[in-house]
Amino acid sequence: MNIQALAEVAEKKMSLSTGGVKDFRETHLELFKKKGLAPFDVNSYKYTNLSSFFEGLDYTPYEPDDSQIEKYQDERFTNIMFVDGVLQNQKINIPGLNLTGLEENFPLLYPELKETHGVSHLHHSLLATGIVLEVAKNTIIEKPIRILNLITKSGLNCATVFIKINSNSKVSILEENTDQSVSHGLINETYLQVEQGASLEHVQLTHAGATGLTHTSTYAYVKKDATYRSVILNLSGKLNRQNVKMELLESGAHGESYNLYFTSGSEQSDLNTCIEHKAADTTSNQIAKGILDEDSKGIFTGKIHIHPHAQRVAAAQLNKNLLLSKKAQVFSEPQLEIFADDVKCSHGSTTGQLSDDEVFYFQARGIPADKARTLLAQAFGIEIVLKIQNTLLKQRAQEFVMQALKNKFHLGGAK
Amino acid sequence: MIEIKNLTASVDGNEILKGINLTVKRGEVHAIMGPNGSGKSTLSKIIAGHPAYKVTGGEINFEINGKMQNLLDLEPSERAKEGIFLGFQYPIEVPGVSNFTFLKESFNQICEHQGLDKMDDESFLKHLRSKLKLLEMNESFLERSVNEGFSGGEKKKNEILQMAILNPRLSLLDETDSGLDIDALKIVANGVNALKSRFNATILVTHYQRLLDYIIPDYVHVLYKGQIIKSGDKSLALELEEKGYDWLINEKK
Repeated sequence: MNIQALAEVAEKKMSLSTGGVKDFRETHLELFKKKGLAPFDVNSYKYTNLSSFFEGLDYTPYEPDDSQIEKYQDERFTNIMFVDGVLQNQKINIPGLNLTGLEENFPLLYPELKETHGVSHLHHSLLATGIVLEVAKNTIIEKPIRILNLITKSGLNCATVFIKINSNSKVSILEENTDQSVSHGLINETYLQVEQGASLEHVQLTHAGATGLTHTSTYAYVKKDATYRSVILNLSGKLNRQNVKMELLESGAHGESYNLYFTSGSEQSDLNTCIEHKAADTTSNQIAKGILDEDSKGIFTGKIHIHPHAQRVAAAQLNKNLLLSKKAQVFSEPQLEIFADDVKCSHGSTTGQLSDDEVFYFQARGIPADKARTLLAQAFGIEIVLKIQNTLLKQRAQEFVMQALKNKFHLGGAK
Repeated sequence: MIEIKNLTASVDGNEILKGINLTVKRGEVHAIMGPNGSGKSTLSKIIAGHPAYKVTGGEINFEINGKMQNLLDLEPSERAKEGIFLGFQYPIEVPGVSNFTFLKESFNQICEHQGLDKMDDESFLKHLRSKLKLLEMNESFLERSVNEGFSGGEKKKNEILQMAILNPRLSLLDETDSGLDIDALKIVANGVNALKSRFNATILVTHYQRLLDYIIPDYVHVLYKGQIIKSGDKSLALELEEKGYDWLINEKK
């Protein structure tokens, strides 16, 4: 076990904080030392042994390298950047959008989290910087916001984002996690509050190097007649583990969860979602799709929990996987827990390969087999990207997805 | 244009074709008829190069650049580029790929092969419109995913649309009439007839004589248990319609 090594990283970074934040971190450091990486619920990390992924990481503390951040800017967005866990720009000037640091808001923000995983304690003990974004009510923010987590050196980092969208406002946010091909662990937590009648589109795009480990937890609280759309795109990385907990708290709340994971080599993508229908007349839709090649592994665990009294709920869930090699593995676990009686719920899970008949159809029209497979894999994956409504976000996502499809998979022939 | 000599083939170890001989010249229309399981569809799939079928003997030669060449050496996509078109009995549904993308990709592959410039979206659309009209198809077909949610008739029209765009030299139409009502059958047959010329040839694979009322064949062959047991002109189809396949099968015995 390397709990000690991980705790030491947190201890060394402790001097970065003062006051309430420091107290909070120290409390969780003690809890982490005691509990280690044990999950709150054993089943939720059944296929991903986190400590084995943390093994062999270089935890040496270092100075962030901000010399190259320019090239990571994308003018299409309002950029907020973390480089190696350190926030680069504190100020943005957009009417109706307020950006503050964690310290000013502490300790009011943390919702009571009952289900604390060991990795959450680790995150909390590392919590040095974070941001709080608030969108004023009745505000439509046209330009999408991009929160970039860039890792330039090996180590262990965390980022924390709180977002509150006040009533009847609308915004699209991209959280992008990437690295400069260094061995590292990034542990993120994102808390989202979507108030009455508001709409939040939230895209999480991870394209890490072969030794990058990205663990994110997203907690969304969706109020009356509000919409939360979560799009997760796991395009690369040694391990991508995404936890999403979406709570539909009041009537008319609508949640969407669209997910795409690509794995090859020995990569692993583990997506764990939980949609809580806590009120009547709430709706949700979920699609998760994976393309897996070589020895890689994909996991989809999707729970839909319909609480008692949450009548007239409609929830749909679908998981589809495309295997490109004989060795690739998928573990798909749809979990429906329904405690109300007047609900409409559907779920489905399929795992298959590109069929010879499909490929032959293309060939019979003059399209070579490799091109046919590429088009078919594209068609399979792009459905998720097309769920993104903001045009600029969709564009950026599409660029990365097409690139990954082109470079990542062996579509030239059966492997 | 195509010469099939003593062709034998199997799928999953079962011998399906047991020595087929067939020669088709340009400008000709051949109909291949026969009861279920006689090997009709297999023959057309083998000519197009379906990987599930294994040729165990014989040869297929196809005229390429004025010379007869061994077709079995070519990949399925290369055969298509050389002008062989298979109209599928059960066209495949391809969710997520629009008909437009599919047609354009296919058309450009063939243009490229013939040393022509690829067409841009706009001029290709213009080219498409005239063909859509031929098959009485609505332009909204182009935005839909290939065959997804299409009715039986729409799928078959879509096959002939592809044929119209690719302008093949040899068309193999596998049970193109199945699943068509009489109106759709007429439209499809008109499409096929309009595309006929003295430079291309058509092989119709069919169960019933019905299609042959609209597309008149020059030759009719009856396939039974992997062999052609009788060949004749269009009157053979009429005779079959009247007497049934048993008549020939019994005669053969």
